[in-house]
Amino acid sequence: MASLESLAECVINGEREKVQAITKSLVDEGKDPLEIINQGLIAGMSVVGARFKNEEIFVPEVLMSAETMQLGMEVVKPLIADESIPTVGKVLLGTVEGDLHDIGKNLVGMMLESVGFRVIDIGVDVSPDKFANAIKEENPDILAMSALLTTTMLHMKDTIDFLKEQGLRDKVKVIIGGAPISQEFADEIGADGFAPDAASAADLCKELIA
Amino acid sequence: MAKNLTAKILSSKEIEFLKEKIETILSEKGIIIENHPKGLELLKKGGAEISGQRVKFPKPLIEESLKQVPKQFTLAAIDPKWDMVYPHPEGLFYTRTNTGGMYYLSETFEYHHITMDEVAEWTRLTEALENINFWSLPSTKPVGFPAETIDIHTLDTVLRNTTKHGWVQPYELKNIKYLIELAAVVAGGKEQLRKRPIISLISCTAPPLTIKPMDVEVILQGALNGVPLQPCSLPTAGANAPITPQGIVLMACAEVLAQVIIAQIFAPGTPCIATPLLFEMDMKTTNAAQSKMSTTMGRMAAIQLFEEGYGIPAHTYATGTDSMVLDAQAGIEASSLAHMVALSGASVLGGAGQIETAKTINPQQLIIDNDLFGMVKQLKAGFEVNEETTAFNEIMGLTGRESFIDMEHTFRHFRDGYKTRVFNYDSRTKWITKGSKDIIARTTEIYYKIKETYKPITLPEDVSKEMDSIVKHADKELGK
Repeated sequence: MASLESLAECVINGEREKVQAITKSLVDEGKDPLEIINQGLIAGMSVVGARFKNEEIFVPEVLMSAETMQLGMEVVKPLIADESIPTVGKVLLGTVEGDLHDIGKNLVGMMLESVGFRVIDIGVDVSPDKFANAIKEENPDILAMSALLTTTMLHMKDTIDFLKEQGLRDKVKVIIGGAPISQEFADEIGADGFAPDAASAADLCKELIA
Repeated sequence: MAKNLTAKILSSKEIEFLKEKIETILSEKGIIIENHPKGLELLKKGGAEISGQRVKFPKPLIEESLKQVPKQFTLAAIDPKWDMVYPHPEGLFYTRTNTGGMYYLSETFEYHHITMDEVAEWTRLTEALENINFWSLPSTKPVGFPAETIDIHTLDTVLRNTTKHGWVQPYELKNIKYLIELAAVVAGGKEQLRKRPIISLISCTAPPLTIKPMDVEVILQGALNGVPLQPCSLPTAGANAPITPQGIVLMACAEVLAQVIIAQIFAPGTPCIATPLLFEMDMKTTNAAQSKMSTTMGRMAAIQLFEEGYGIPAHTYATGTDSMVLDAQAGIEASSLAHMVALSGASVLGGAGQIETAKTINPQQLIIDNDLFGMVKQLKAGFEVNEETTAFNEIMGLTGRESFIDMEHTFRHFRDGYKTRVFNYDSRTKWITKGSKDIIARTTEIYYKIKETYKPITLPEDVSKEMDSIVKHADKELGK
């Protein structure tokens, strides 16, 4: 028999083939959709997040659980208003101008979604102008920029400076990451944070939102 | 006589399997060539099938192109004594320093973004180490010059401190011509650079199966100027490549072979050294690692595929560590890599002096790697078994319990094999008397001694002035 606990367990175990049936069962029983999300789906992901932080499980297992949670969300989302869907915050994500690398950025996006953030990924080779326009349009809590090259990382500063010119800097927290990035560089260019890897990025975003 | 020791990870059938799959990928799926209309036009003229940015190489074209790859060539050095003849005349290998490292762990273990003075220092150290054959460029912090010309300034500094060959990574498309011009000035002109290429170039794919405009331009400029190529693929297993070592080998080798073929289409006979540089995502930390055993096995397979399967010299990381410091992990990983990649038949063992997954370089590590390469060369060369080497006559001539230490045979052979500088062979008492130094302390002393005996390199004044002019012009044109 379906229960919120069994739904959470399904997410923890990454059982994609079972989650929609369990979720639908709970909906049919009359369970509050928000309760299904918070105490079933998100509760399961919270356990996964804690286990990952403790190095008890691996990234592919986290992503499997995240996918399971998303499949469950597909069943309940139509039942509630958009603005009621719980979200930890909104992150605008992109790789800076001149840089086409996106693996790290994509992984950060997946990890952020797995902990409840709504992620708007605007892709690669994103100019300061394009970041600014996206901020105006999407109103994110956090701007997360990625760069893999020592040449392109300098566009992170260009972007921050441009946001200041546009009067947008105070509207958004800025975090940066990528192989050549360091805390020292983040401090130098006035970023709010630096994350050395995808998992840390998710934690950093949670701290900045809190 | 087990000369030219090898460790083969692939059977002949598996080599053929991989070749067939690679050729299917290149002919039926193709690769994406981004935003390089001239490159696409040349490839189309050369027989490739173009559809938008997707380029497919029909099998007859692959076969014909591979016939054009030179089987013998020389990567020249500024001083011919450092010339590298391929294939290696003794069946051994060449070695090179790490490329693209941004950070420097100094000899006093301070960690920071590498400065230009340290690039000069690093180059001088490379110059002094007998088992390091060629250099590559670190990724310097732009202080006092535009960020857009980091590679040009770094190459300028290196060329003023070396007589060895170098492997050059351009950072921007527009920079390529300046890098070639700098090398040409030192070589004695563009024609001389063609005859005696003192640099080779790095082109890289952006896995999976994509080549960016800058890298197409690198292949084009290299091919047209007679500058050899060491085309790379740097995929990360589990991230932008299959997680299995066999899978990453298939993809990386397809990408490298595509670049080799492209080079032959642009200019038949362009010397190429296939350079699959494999990484693996650690599934707990999401960091890319370069020294896991599965990666080593992948590299062995990739090397064997190119060397044995295609007859193309091959090159990969063959030292280095994912450790942040010079510790037991660093020693184990570097040694494991050097042994296995050398035994797989690689023509070039790369990555000397690196720690932290190739992001950081350290002078003591470079000196240790110099010794490591010396040891592995000895292993790779094998040994002969005959009456002389077995001391058969000496054994037969024993009348009692003579000592071997003062025999002629011992005198003839005690210098055989590589003599390391950095390892300890003292007794404990003597080791204590000498200060109880570990390998790091001993290597640090060796480094300081090497620094005391540097012979400065002075380029002719006209060459130096012309290099200054090229760099100045680059700063003006490219700097923002």
